[in-house]
Amino acid sequence: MSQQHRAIVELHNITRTYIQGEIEVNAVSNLNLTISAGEFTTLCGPSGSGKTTVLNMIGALDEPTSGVVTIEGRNLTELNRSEISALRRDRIGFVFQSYNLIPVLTAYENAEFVLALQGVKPAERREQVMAILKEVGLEGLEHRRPDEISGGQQQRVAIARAIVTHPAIVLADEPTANVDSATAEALLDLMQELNQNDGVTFLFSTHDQRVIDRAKRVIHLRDGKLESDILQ
Amino acid sequence: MRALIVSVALLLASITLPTGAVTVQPSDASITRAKEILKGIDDLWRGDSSHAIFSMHVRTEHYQRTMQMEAWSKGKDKSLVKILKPLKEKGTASLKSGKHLYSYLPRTDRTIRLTSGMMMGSWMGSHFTNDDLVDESRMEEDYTPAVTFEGQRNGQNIIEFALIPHEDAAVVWGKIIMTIFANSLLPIEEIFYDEDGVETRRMTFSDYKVMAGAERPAVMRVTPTDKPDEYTEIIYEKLELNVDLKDSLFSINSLKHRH
Amino acid sequence: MLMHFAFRNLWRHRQRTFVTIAAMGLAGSIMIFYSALMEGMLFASERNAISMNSGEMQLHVENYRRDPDLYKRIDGSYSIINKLQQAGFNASPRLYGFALAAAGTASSGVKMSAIDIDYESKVTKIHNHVMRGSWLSKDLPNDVVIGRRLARTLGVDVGDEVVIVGQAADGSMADALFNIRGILKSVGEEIDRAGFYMNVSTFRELMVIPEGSHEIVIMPKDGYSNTLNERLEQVRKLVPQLELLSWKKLLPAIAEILDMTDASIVVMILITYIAVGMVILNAMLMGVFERIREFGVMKALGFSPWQIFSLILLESQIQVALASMITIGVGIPLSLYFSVHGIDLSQFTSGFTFGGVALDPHWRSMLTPQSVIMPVGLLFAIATLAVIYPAIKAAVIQPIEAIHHQ
Ligand SMILES: Nc1ncnc2c1ncn2[C@@H]1O[C@H](COP(=O)(O)OP(=O)(O)O)[C@@H](O)[C@H]1O
Ligand SMILES: [Mg+2]
Repeated sequence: MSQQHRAIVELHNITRTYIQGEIEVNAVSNLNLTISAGEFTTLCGPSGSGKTTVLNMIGALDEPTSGVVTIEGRNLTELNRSEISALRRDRIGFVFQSYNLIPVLTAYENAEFVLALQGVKPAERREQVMAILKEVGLEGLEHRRPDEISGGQQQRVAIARAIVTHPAIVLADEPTANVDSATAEALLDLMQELNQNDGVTFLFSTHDQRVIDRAKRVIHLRDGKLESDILQ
Repeated sequence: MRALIVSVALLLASITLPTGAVTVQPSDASITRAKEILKGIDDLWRGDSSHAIFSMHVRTEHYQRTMQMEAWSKGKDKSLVKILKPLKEKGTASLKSGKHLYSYLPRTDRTIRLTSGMMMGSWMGSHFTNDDLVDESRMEEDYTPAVTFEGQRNGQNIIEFALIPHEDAAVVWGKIIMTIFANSLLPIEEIFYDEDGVETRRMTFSDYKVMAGAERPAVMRVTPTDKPDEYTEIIYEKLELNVDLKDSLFSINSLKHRH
Repeated sequence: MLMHFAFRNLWRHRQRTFVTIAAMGLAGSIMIFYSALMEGMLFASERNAISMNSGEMQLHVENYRRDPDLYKRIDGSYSIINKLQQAGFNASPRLYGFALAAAGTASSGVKMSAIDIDYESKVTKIHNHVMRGSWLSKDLPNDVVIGRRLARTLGVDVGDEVVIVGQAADGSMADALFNIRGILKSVGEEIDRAGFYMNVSTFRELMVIPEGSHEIVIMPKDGYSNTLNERLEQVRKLVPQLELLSWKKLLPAIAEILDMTDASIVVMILITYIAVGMVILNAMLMGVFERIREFGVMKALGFSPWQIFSLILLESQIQVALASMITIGVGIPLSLYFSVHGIDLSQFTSGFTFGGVALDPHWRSMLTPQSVIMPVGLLFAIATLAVIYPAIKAAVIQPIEAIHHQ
């Protein structure tokens, strides 16, 4: 694919400092990183190493204390609130560890509402959502509510929701942490397929060795610092 | 209505009574002089009883009417007035006995006593109030006289008195100014002022002629100061003094009887 | 799009939505009913006050009120009354005169009120306030109805005789003997002490006043729609030559009491509204804060703060709109029902007074536009105000914070 090596995410010398009581904790320090289109990359490291913090900053849910984050060349610090919202809506897909589906909406509606937010016409929405749900293996479960399906199925809905808008990157924070290993494998299969067939760029965090084994690129974090960056 | 014409005489006469407790400004000398003159008037005027026939002419903004009345009096606090004309009111009688005033109404054949609330009401549609009928006997108790002028005025020798109510007197007038001829002691004019010192009405005397053995004014006219076009005039047709009258004439029972 | 979301959210949270709407709707209905009851009470007090004697307005010649005088009369009062009747009013002529009344040895000043019975009965309800005996009759010219304190002063009762002495308009003596036909209940200081009602024809003969009247009392016919000020203006245009006074000028003390009552009712209504406002505020706060995580996720997925804010506001407005329907649908029929049937308080009290005015023990509500508009308007205002804080909070909250919010 022509856009294969285009940089989607660039982190320039990122530091994120939290203040915990009296002491300052550098959740991330002096991190430089580039994620390019088509990558299937994992951030790994022990708990507390800064994975979530990095993902949040890339997803424009958090701001670095210093340094610059760019998404498709746009410096996030230069964007206003509505541009940030539009960026999250149009260019980023989010998959959370605890799914975070809207509990009162059906699987279909959960996958559909960002499209509605984008202003996509209902007929088009329907077509796209049905296709995606079919792709993530939820055919026939469209009208189920989150509490009527399994954790794995819920995470599939979340993935469908993340990719239905064709974002530049899908950020997934420990997407398999809450499911059993069989389900985890299936989810990984799905994401891998989406990456390979549709060219969806994935960046996920994990400390699950099976996930790490599947990744094309493995970035190790320790105490908020880049420990290693390995292409497999 | 004897009350009205004789009021001057009786009033002046009775003013011989007040003594000591004088709280008004006039000098003792002027008070003494006033009392002296008033005593003279009293001697000249006062009869123990009277009998009169007079007509009363009332002119107001809204009506004009003439009545004829007959009146009797005895002492200072007994008097009786009966209407002779017009026919509609014939027989209507007012009796003053002490400080009470009674009216007999022939049409309803009822006698009523006028309450204090009615005292300032018009008497028989005239410019006199019911209070005027009973007032005279109180004057002497409530007012202190003082001579305020003695000498020539309009080519006449006159005496002017001021009658000022005692501080604690519950009276209608704030001041009365009275003018008499110095020689004959006949009344010329009385001016009544309210408590704020504003002139309220004026009583003028005229048509002096001999009645009941002495010269007296036969006409007396009252004019309210705020309505100078209105007046009530009393014209004496007959006056007798010191006539023999029974006390029973001045009883409620006799109100009904025709004379 | 937001509208669709709002409706869907409300529908999916239907249990909470229904409870909220029902609570608001019920509160609103109660507010309408309460307002209508208060309006009804005020209206009844006002009607009672003015229908006792003063009427809603009165006509006199210039200065009559300041200096009442037998000769200050309105000419052609019946043609004026005809004009007023055609314009939707009932009107009645009256004449007054002061005189002395005596019975036995007792006497007292009285204010004779001469009325035209047929006209008067359409204007005031004084004929309903006879304590003993009965009201005037056209066939009994020598019968009078007097105030209760006057009756006591004169020591008379129904069936007794009383003499009147006064001065007629021509200066002659006006005296006549009357039979006491009725004694009034307490209807006001002056009437109690000096009220002396008689037929107008009797009065005219007694006082030698063949024509004219001192006063024209006016009351709107039932079912009027315009305000007092508009009615005053209407009458002023019909009879510009006469002095027109409204009952507020005629009964300033009662007008003041009723104004004060009105103010205290507003305070009471406001207190009710504040209580209702708390309920709504709570419902709105809970509705938003329970869903804060949901809003965080929506923000993370691309909702702008403004969209979140609008969505929450929209949801609350839809709820209030539905609640208003309940408010109107329940409040209005309830108020209308009680405006016809009234609440019967007669078992608790034989008659009660309010602001010094005797009231019918049937307390009727009265539905005015104000008693609907105010509760509904306030419902919207309160719900909107109540939701603004949580809506802003949800709009500006950081998504990660919201997501971690449990
Ligand atoms: N909101 C926060 N306030 C304070 N400290 C935080 C906050 N979030 C993360 N941290 C700290 O930052 C560090 C990195 O956390 P995180 O990014 O969650 O690590 P990981 O996702 O790898 O477990 C940890 O030491 C954590 O305690
Ligand atoms: Mg984490």
